[in-house]
Amino acid sequence: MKNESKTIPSGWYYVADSSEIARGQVVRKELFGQILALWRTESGAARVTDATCPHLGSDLGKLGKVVGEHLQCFSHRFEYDGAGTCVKTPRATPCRTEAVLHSYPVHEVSGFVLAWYDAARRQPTWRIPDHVFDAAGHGRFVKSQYTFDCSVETINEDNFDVGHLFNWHELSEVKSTLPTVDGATISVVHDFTRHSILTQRKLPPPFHVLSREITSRYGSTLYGHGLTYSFIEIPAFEFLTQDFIWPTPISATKTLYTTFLRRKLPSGKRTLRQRLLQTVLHPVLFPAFVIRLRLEHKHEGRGFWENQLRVEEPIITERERPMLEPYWEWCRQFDVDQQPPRRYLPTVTEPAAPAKKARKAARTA
Amino acid sequence: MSALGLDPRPIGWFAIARSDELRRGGEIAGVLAAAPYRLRRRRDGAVDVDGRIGALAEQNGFVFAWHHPGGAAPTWRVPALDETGWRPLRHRLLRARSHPQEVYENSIDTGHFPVIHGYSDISVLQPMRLDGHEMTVGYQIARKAPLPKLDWKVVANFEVHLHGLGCAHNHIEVPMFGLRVRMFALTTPTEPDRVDIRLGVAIARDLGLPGGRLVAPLVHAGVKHGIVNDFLQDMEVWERKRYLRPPLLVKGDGPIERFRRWSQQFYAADAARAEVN
Repeated sequence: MKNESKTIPSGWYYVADSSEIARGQVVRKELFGQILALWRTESGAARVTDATCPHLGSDLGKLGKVVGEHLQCFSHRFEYDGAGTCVKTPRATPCRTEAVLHSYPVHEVSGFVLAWYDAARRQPTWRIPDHVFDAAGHGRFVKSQYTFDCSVETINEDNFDVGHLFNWHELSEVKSTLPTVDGATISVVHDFTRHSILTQRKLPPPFHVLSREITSRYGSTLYGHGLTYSFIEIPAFEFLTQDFIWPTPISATKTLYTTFLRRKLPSGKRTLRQRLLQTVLHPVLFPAFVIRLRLEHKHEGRGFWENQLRVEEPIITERERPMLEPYWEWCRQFDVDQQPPRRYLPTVTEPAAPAKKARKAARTA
Repeated sequence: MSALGLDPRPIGWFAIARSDELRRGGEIAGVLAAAPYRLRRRRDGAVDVDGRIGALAEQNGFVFAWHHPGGAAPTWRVPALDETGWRPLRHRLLRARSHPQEVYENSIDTGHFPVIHGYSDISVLQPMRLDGHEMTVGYQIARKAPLPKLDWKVVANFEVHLHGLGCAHNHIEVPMFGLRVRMFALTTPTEPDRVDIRLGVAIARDLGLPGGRLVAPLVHAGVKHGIVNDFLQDMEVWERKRYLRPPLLVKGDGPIERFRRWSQQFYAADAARAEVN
């Protein structure tokens, strides 16, 4: 069994870019285990509803048409408003009209169309604050999108799984803060050293000079399971990027993984070194960084997340426990099934330090 | 059950081939209700079959097969129609994502006639009548004449006579042209959620028009084109339609619930029970 709940966790999820849905347009998408109709009224309001017409089952995503503020089914001309109420038919009124077409609360911000999903159809109890999307002083977004056969919980667990940072990402000297939980939000910051910002593995001689070890900081804040707002900072190059990672459930076991990466632009008074870095290095570094991150996301998704199984009684180390335990507990608030918390087996001893660290320690000795 | 939500193995007679496709010594392979079959015509004209097919009947230019998931023998037959006075059938095979029940439900879903097909002035000449495995319904409709730049309305009477979920004999009359049309709409469940629709269209030889014999081939081709076009319009809807239980019906939708209850006799007991529940 994969590392996932049986139902999709509740929360705000990215469903489209604002530019994907023009006024009067209907877009069909398969998300949340449903076929959805994403449409925009003539006045410009974005709407997300189920795509199956409750009258006789026609696909509104394909045969729906926006008429003013309503969505009209092509087959029998039934019309629905944004709340899913049947407001017009060519003949009589149906026996029930209110919320016959399931609609999803929508929040459109900074070019993202977000929809609230809750398996029990409860209304939203929180919202992603608008200031998270503040674009001042940042460049344009670069979008990447993948589909992974795993749940959103598996993907988000990555932020708290310190063990895999050494082995999978080949990082060293990782220092992590403990996760901070605030309602639907959980944050963590990792400081680490890696071979290079451009390659994951150490390059063989003579190219090893290009893969100079570099200290970086990675911080992430999760707003429910739908958004991981993260930053990567390389202090040596005064390089800072923002990454909006949107894992959207296609189903409970399949995720549409969309990332929007942008870099911080230079501003204010700068030294000559800063000017050189920001005008010469950063424009070259950023595209290379985008390519590297894309490869890393894809590699990790296909190789790691898709092959993770759920363990009911996980064996975790003393180091992992304070990171994973708060995350698992935080996840429970979004779980409609309210699965019992995981039981931990007695903690095992810390594994041996990575080989490189051991070598360094031996040299010092 | 299929993704569409209907049992892909209904009981009844289903057309599995056209007679003229199966030459002496020839062979045809296909799938009926998710099970493969192979038809072979012997030199003496008889047809042999391999597969889970209970009985065969060849009539009106089609080979019908009896399908029952439990292997039971046929309890009724599709009547053969007299072909005297009719032009030979013009054929078309359509393959759709649908189910025989969905295809025939269309004939009583009067709500979609004006929207999808552009019919107007629809009136029910004969309300739906259910009799054992048979269903009959009749309408009068008006539709635009198939002539460009002419806003003529052609009034037609049409009657649907359904024999189980595999065979519809439709009779269409256009009194203003003295035109009589006979249409076989034969559905065959193949793979789950896939249906073959064999259309056979014939018109009466005696067109009530001067020079009728001369224009008959042209009229025949035009009528077939119109009928196929109507089916293609429906297929666009079927391609992604879902079978809803229960649907959100309104007055004027046609007796859809009654039709669905009648259809339950064509499923094995467990599938039918699940549908009723």
